[in-house]
Amino acid sequence: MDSIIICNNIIKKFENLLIINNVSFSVDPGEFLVLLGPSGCGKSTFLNMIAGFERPTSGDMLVMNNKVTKPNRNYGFVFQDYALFPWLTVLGNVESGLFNKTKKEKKEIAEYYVNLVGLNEFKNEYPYKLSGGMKQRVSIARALAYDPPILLMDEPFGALDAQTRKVMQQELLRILKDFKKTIVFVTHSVVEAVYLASRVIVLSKRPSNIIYEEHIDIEGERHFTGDKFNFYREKILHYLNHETGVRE
Amino acid sequence: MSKSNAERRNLIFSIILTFLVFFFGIILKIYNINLALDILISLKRMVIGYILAVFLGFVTAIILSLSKYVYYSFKPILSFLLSIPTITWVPFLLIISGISEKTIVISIFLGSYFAITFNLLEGFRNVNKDIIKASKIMGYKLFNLYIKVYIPASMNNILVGLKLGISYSWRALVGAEMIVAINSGLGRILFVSRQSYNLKLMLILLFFIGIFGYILNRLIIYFIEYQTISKWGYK
Repeated sequence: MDSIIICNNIIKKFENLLIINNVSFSVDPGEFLVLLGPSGCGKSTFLNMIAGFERPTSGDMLVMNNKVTKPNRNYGFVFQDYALFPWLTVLGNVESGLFNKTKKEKKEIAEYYVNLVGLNEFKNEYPYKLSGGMKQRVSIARALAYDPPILLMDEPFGALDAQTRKVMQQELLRILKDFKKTIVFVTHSVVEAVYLASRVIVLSKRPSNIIYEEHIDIEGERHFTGDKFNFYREKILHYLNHETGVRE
Repeated sequence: MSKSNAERRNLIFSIILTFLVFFFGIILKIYNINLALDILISLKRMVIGYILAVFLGFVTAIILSLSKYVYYSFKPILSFLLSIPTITWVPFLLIISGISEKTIVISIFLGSYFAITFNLLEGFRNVNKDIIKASKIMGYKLFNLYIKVYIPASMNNILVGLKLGISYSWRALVGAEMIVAINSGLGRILFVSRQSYNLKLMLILLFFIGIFGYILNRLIIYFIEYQTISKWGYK
């Protein structure tokens, strides 16, 4: 199977500051890749480069066999701070990525996705009335609505409280179950990574390169306290702690 | 959606003001002073100058916000022009375009154009970067990006610009009318009433000028504000 995202020897500098030092990896279609790493190691920069907001200083970034030059509709992007359009209702926000369709088609599609994320009651509300978790649901619905093959998520649950965060992790898996999306997900949380990912890549601190890579292979539903879950968690935490200097 | 307290207060205030205007209308009737035509003429000048300023303000702000370099090279010029009092343009305009409607309209335009442009520009510059990213990835391009994203996202600043624009152009109007001696308009009547020692008329005019400036601001903004930022939950 051809990889959908290929990063070859990516180097990124901001002026003279070296952020990303020679990182290469590829992502297969349908994979759920989680990028883990200490603060400021360039995880978000990496997503921005995949999405085409920034260019690598050197190295090749290929998405669906094309060189990435500018943002396009191959991606859905989910932000930590939601980035919803406050001037549109929930339905309006989900419709905002749909072009070249009749009003009726747009509404049908939007209603389907609003329903999918469980916000049917709130479909005509403006975003300021929603809680953080609900806003993130809208944001996910908006990213899915125009059916991009790739979903980029930049610490989507970072601003949520611990309880909502767990709910949203479960919800994300439920929502994505029926779609064949390729996902690149950035987070600080090892538990989140092990819970969601099919593969985890751990980046070192700046200038970052890959220090560890792990396929998460757990049959069936994942439990936060399962043996295998803990095994992966400990292992990844070990590498991450080594990077951040946290004593074990 | 139920009306908030602030909205209710505003509504009551507007109603009281409208009554005040009627009240003064009756006083004018008693003293047999006819201002209706002058008010209309002043309003007409104001509307032309203001709409011109809003239109060109949007065009300028959009062009200047397209690129960082253009923005940084033109912003000081804009700040400089913003700090020139409008009334000081009038002697210059008198020589360029003479004693005419044009002079008044141009000074109204100059009075509000810079304030409007400046605020729109700041608004466009301060739109949340993630919102821009989100819309770019969904495929919004130039025209769509401005109409559907930049303008609604910077509605706070746009309204500040429009409000300032109204009060500045109202000031410029009255000032210009006093200097540019055409026979009609509120400013002109005010100036003429000095020559006839008509203190009563002067005070009534002052009151009218204040009230009208306020009402223009209120009415025009009222509708936009409650259709946009109040509904969207902006601060």
